[in-house]
Amino acid sequence: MATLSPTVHRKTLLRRIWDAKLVYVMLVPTFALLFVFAYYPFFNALYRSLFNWNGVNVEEFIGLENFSTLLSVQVVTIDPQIDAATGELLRDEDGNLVYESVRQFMRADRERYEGYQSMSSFMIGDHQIHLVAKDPVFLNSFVNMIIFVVTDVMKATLIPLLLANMLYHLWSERWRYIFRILLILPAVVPGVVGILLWRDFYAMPVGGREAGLVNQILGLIDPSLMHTWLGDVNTVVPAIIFTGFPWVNGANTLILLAGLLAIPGELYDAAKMDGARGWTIFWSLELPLLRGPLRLVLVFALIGAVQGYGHILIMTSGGPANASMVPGLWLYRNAFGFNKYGYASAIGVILFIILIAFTITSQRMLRSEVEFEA
Amino acid sequence: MFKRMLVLLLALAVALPLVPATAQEDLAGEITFVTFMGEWVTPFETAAADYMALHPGVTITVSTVPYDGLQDFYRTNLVGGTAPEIMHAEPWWNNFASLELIKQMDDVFAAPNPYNEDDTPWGDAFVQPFLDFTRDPGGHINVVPWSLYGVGMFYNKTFFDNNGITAPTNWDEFMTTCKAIKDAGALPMYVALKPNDAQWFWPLGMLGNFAMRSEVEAVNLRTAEGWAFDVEDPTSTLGESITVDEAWVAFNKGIIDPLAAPEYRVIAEMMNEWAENCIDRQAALAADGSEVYQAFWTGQSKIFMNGTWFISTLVNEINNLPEEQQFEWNIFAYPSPTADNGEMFSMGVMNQNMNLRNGFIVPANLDPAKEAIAIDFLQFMTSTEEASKLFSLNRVDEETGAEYPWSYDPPAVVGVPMRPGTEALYPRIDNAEMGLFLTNGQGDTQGWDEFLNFFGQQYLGGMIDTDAVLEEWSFSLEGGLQRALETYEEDIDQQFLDENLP
Amino acid sequence: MRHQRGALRAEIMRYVVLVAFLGGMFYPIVFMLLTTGKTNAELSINFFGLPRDFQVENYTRAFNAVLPYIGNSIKVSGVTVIGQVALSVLGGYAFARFKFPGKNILFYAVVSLMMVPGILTFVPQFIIARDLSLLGNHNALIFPYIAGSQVGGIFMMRIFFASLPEELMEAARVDGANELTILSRIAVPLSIPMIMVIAVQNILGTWNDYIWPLVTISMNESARTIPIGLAFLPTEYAQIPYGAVMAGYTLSAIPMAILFVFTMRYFVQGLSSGALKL
Repeated sequence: MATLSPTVHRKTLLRRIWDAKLVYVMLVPTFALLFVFAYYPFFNALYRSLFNWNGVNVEEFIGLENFSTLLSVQVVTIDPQIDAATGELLRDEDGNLVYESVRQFMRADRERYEGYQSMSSFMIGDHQIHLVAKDPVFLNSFVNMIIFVVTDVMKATLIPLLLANMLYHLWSERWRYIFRILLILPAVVPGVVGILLWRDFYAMPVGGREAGLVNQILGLIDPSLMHTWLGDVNTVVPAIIFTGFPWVNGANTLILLAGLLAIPGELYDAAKMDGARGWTIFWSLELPLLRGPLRLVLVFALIGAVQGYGHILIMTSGGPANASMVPGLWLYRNAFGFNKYGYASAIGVILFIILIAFTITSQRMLRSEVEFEA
Repeated sequence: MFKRMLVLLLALAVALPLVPATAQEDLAGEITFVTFMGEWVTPFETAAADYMALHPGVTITVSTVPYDGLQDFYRTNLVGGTAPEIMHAEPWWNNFASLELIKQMDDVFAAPNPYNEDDTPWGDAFVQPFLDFTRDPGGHINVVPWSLYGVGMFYNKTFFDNNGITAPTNWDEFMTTCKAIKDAGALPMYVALKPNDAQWFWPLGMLGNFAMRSEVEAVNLRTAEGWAFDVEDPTSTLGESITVDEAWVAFNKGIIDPLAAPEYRVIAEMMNEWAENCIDRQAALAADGSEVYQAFWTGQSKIFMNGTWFISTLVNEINNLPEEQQFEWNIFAYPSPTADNGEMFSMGVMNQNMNLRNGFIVPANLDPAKEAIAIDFLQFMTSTEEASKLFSLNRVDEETGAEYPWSYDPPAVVGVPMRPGTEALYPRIDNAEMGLFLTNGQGDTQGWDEFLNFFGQQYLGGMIDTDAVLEEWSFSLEGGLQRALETYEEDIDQQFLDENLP
Repeated sequence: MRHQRGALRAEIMRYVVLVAFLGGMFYPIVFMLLTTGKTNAELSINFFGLPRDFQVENYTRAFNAVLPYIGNSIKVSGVTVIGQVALSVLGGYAFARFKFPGKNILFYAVVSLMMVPGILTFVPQFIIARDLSLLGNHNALIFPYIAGSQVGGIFMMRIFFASLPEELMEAARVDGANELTILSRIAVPLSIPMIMVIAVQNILGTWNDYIWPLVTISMNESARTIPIGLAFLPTEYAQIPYGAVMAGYTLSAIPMAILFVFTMRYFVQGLSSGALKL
């Protein structure tokens, strides 16, 4: 017979382990499989981040150097050049101030800027400020990742939440059933088909080619709105975000629906007795009870956004000029393209830390209120 | 013939005890041979059957493997020691070579091929200088070559004729042609500035190596006494290649430093001129390499730079188009710059882009018995007699009974005839030159990735100017050469470096 | 009057929203079906439109590439999903409902496996499969698939079990039911919608997986799964036969579509048949 948790501390550890034997037995097959297939690759990936390792025959312990390369940033301030003869600011033919290029500036002080490259720059007054990094591609990809995390999490939760709610409240059992099948059916098409399709949706009418759907619609409104969305560093990220519109995620909708279906009917009856309707029921009853499924959807969306790169590889290969690079793709390039497995592992470890930190915090809030001792 | 009978007799002798054994007759076992090119399956199966008839103890299984995921398949199985014994591959094999995953062929190429009648080294049986082009930065050969390619400029002859445009013969005419096509309201070339379309980086190598010819002797220093570069004699560079230590010295002397060498600026500006006149920069930034083929055969673009392998596809696809969209096509050579474009273009004429297309690799550290079979079979396949047979095999159209070649590929084996009518495409090198125009550190894939970005996308895409691209280039090349120095550490002549570095 | 006028308006709105969003999900299917009727040449000039001359041949080619491997795919995906669901339910319940020494450490030891990118574990996993002599047969797929997919499954089931209203379990416990009975009689039936989601996602993942089976089992022709069979469609002169590939995707999707239609019915009935009195 189970007892409530406050009694736990009165027993010895061994006693508690013995009492919980059934639970451990339940977990044996899981850990047996994980020990054989998962833990060696997993620890291997973490451990190799401390090496200069090409995946095969070069292996050299370098401590945290991979991480310091990934995360090194400095600020460089370049002042306008001065005419040595007159002591005045130099100007070119158009009257603009003249600056030394950041690369030349850094070459002058090799000791300090060895291995640094320009990442981004802006002006403060007459001063040119450059952020320089040892791996500007990674840091830029990290910024993109944060953008994709926010938008992907919104796409993964808001619309499925809306649809699950609509579906749950449908009066007709039959239509609820039909819609549910329709929700999951499109998933049988391999994802690559939809991505290739979207790449074509963005096409410009070049050389007599048919414009893609997106530009056709924009062209109807105003031809000047047509644009090479995937070929412009300023629009490529928004274009990737928009991909897949209207972002119906069948699996997430079903997860949230499953959460709604598990809410006992009495709670609805009680809420209605209190005079709650529509939105009130949603806010005060459904949303709180969907907390678990919502976090679930959220964590998976987060993992996908942090690690994912397949759709970007197909649409833009991370371009143009690395403008749509994400850490997952940069990791893939470093491992399979540049034979820098150690460095790729270090990227993996950074992503791992972000994800695990988030999961732990979300898990803290997730424990079921009452737990039983076995 | 005598040799072959001897081999047969030796094979029979296996059955007899107490007869002294040679390497060949001992061969027994199973190997797997994989190819990713469907059109070669039947010829390769023929070779395997011929070989097994000669060596009854050997079983060779010919199998295909999809191109999608091919490099991952090879790499993972090579690392795991489970790779097929012979793998059909493309020039990315040197990426495996730098990891020491595949066998170096230097030694076996130095010995004779027992299936050929003469006793010259096996390596001499492959068309030069393409064999030398395959050398990795350490100077080693890691592949048994199979077929070659030539690249030309396919053009829409119907469109050219209708608009009174003629095929250009030099660089300046090429620019005029592009302008004329644009004036006629069409797109000259549909190009993708991604790594999967070579239309913008092939010309760079052609133009650059042409421009750098006069510098070859000053760079190729680790070579036998008395060596001389003769631009008129393509054989003068045989056995030579620019090793990574030579390249590093040349970089530090400024000969191949994009910031210091005038050739790099000229080439960059020419490519920029080409981008301005011949392509749509914005569309090229968004385009994917898989789209450029269809852009040509559907008439979207009027010029398309591609290789001999494209001919079968082009003929086929044009025939499938509705009649009103079909057109006549032809090929012109890539237009060469002249001394008018710069004095660096005065040594001979530009070489067209021709090179090794594919070959066979063998895993390193294979079981010796299996390796012996794999090498022996490759020697058999690339013997003049067997290769001639394989390159002449035909497929039969089931409906009409007509015969077509399985492949139009130019053979990489000396003495194997081309298909009648395609001799004009046989890769040839008009002038001697060496791969001196470096876009990235030799064999350095990270530098290549950087180059694709700052030169292809940012510069040709119109985001940065020439000064900026040369600076990026110099920086990237320096880093890439440093990495290559590490990768090929054991092939480096330290004394040479000490003596020659400025 | 059962429903007020406002409620009726809300109901109509629901249909409008559902139809609009779900309609927007179907263009990849429509595109895939249209493409199955086209040659490469037609695809290049008529990308979005109806095929002019429907190429039945694409289906015959795809049929030959898909049919011999349907059995393999069903076996691999079927065994995997059964194993994964079983382990996910057991593990999820253990972590959700019990307190035991080492619980948190063990739980993080499981879920942290989701957080390392697959590219980094690909080659080491291959080496393990090689050392266990799994290469070339279906065990090279099934065991790593179950090992990998149970991780997400345990995570999902834990959260779901934890969110179930406690009163139900407590009532059973008062009636003297043991934990396994509570799991099988109350927790699992209540969680069938969630289990379905896990199962469906798992099947979709294994059914279409490409690179792992390519590397581990593709050289054994009799072990190939459908995507591998499709990739081995003869291609000459480096031209991908898009029409035939899309026809292959279509044929490959049919067994799954049938499965979803039937199981979805079962799972709706299971819920409404009053097995649980809520």
